[in-house]
Amino acid sequence: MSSEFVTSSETEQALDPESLIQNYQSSVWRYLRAMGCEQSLADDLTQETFIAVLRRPFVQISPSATSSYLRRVAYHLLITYRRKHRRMTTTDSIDALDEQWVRWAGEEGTGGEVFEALAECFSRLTERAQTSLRMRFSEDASRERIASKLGITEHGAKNLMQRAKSQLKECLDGKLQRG
Amino acid sequence: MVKENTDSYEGNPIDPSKAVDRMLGLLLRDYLRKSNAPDFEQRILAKLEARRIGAANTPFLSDDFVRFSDEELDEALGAAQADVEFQRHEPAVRLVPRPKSLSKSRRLDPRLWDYRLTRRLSWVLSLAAACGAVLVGWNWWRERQPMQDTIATSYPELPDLNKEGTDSVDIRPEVVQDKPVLSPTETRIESPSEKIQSELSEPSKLSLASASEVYAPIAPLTTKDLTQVINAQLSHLWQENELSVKFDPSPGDEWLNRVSFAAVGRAPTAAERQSFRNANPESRADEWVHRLVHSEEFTNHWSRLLAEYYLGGPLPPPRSQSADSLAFVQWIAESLNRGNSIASMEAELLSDEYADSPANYWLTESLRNGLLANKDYSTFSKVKLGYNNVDAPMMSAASELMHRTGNVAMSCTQCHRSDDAKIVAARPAFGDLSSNFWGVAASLASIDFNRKVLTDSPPKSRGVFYEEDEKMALAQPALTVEKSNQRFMMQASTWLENSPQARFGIVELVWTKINQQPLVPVFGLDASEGAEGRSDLKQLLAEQLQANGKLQHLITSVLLSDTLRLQEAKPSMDWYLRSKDSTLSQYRKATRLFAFVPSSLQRSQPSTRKSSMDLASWLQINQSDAHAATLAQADTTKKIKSTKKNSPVEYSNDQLLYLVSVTQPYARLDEFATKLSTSELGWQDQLNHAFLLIHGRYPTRAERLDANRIYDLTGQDSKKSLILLVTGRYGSF
Repeated sequence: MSSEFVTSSETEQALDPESLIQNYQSSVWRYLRAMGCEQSLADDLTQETFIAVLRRPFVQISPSATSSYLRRVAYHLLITYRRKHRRMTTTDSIDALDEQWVRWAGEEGTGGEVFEALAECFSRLTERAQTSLRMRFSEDASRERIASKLGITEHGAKNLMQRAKSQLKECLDGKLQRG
Repeated sequence: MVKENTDSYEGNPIDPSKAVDRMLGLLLRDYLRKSNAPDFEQRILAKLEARRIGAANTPFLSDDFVRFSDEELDEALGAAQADVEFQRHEPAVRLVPRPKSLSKSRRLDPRLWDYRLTRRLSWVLSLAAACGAVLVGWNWWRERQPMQDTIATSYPELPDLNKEGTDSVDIRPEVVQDKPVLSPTETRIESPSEKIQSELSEPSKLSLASASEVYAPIAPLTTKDLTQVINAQLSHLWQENELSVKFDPSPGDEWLNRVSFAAVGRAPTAAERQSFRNANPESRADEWVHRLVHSEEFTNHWSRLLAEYYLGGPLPPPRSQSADSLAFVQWIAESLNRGNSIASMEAELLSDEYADSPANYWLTESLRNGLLANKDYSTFSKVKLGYNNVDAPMMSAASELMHRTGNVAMSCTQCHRSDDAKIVAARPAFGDLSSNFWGVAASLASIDFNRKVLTDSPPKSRGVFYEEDEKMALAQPALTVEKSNQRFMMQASTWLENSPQARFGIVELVWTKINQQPLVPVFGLDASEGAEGRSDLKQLLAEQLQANGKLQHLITSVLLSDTLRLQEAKPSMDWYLRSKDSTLSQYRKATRLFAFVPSSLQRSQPSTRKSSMDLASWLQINQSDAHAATLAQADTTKKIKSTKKNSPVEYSNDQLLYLVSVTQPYARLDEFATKLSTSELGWQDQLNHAFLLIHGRYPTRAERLDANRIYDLTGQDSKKSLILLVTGRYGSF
């Protein structure tokens, strides 16, 4: 089945393992992180994704098709992993996240553009909003600490972060929405 | 290294609509922490090489490494390929044009539509349907119009979240007050249902909004001061009720037992006992409580207690607990460890700041339980629900939230009027319950309450009602609800975070877990108990918990109070003999101040107890001789069995000696039994008093059953039963 897929295009070209890993490891890893994997799990699943594909010679149709294919392999390995570890029903949440990833990064995207857009959108936020989000997501600061740092109430800090995230979402949607 | 909180809960199912929030959070973490993919080339190539030569392990593998078999890898490849193939070919399938020859072919036989009669009939039916729709729409509009005028008056205006410069929700009274709807010149005669609606919709009754009055912060007390306040309050109440109280002079082994059970849920070890004995007697109690309260065991024990309390039932052992429920307990434990305030923790139950936060488990569970309960409710309850079943889980969750945080049973208030006697009894502690209920229900989801309005006639056509006409209840919300529930969610969250009333639940939990009895009854008791004196203490503890924030502070104060040092606190025989009938009949209110001693730790004398079966065998023989009955009870059962019916009583020397020694106590017991049996109290109340006298507590279910059998065996002679009961439990009374 696999060989049928990789040789059915006219633009196919053989790709050595080193090139395949170097070109696509970042996009697979980012995708898994966006699916909610811890760093160690994302590392392991990225490795297994490439191992699954590279057990046989790989022929590339096009870079975008390869990216999409690797993403789907990673997706199914993640589901297999969670089933094996008897996590609760996870396919709904994974599907929802996967759809959101495709909406932002595109079916065949590498994810790099998502982070570029995020960086640009983040820079457009006010200084206070940036500080609050940075403390929350980078330092895991409590709402109390953020509030005292910014000189506002806890509730104010909560509102501030909610508004900031809402603006980020709108900005990202504007930049990345496809279709 | 900074811990990634959200990532550790990756297994939680999430609402697809919240996937954006979740993904944004995950991306922000990676972006702000500058996390990048490591270089996998070497390890992947090494692993491939190891597979090729058949080596099972490589230096890169550890025990917890993610392993997949070849079959699993093949399955994933196949599924991925199918995904890609399917997406590639789908448009092509859709775009296959229909052959022109087929689309243009004409049928030879006539279709139904070709008959003129069919066409005319369908035209008439369409016209009738259109007229009907217009008529229904007009009626609906006429009914809806006046209701909006009256109900909308209590709708609170909250600040616009998108407005610049509003960092916090404004809760000023003028902001949350009503807005005038009817013009001054407009007069309208209110129908009965509208009158009720307007009564329910008075703005002052919306406790969630008007709680701004109690939001004023109070000065937090230190644990020492708070302990003194608790002691003073209890001492005052004991004196007022003339209760005799005995204390341990200094905290000893018994105190250590109670404190350990209350704080960490286990008995102290031998080493701990020794360490406590060797410590400085002056300060060892304080030091011991602080040590326990700041231990990891305390966090684990109380996080589990809190989780069980919020979820409304016992949790299974951790090994068989679901991942989500474990995460919920862990989230509470982390909050306690970090020293987060209870207020912010409870507010997070409704917060949607993190879509995948373990705190959301509570809301999910409440909605699920509501959905399950609704089925039974609609099948077996005498109250018939006229509204859509979709709303039932929301109402259940609202009821659960108010019960767990405000310690108010809300399930009845969705149907009963706010001036219902039982609801009035609980009102001083919490304000208008009906409005609160609908306010919170509104906060959890955008429910279209408009469709649940009662109309004047026919009464059963809509809304919620009892099956009996005369008991028809009101189930009308005092609010109209917007479709966007974000503001309501914020409002409820604000209430949870800022109002001391929202701390009642935890205060009650702490008090009950430590002292084995409730601080103040919640609901369903007599109206007189609503204004019980100890509600002051409850209010005070709730305010202090709100001001201080930390659960550890409250628990430390209660553990160091006099209640844990009590040997006993119960009414004496003198108290009973002095008291009037009216005092006895109100004993429920007064005796809530008794017996703080945990019942499991009370010393009992099982060897002296006689069960109802022992007494029954003897009573059948000695029906008429009460005095001999008492005497025989003091002796062993072998003598009882040898006594024959109607034979003259012959006392042995041992019995005579015993009779001399117990004459005076029995005389007092006789006096006590006479007083109770001649009062207006029923048997069950008399039984309660007997147990309060003996044990300082109410009888258990088994004890009550046993006592009832004695009562039946004596031909429902309450005096005789009481004497037998007391002597049976305490042969040397």
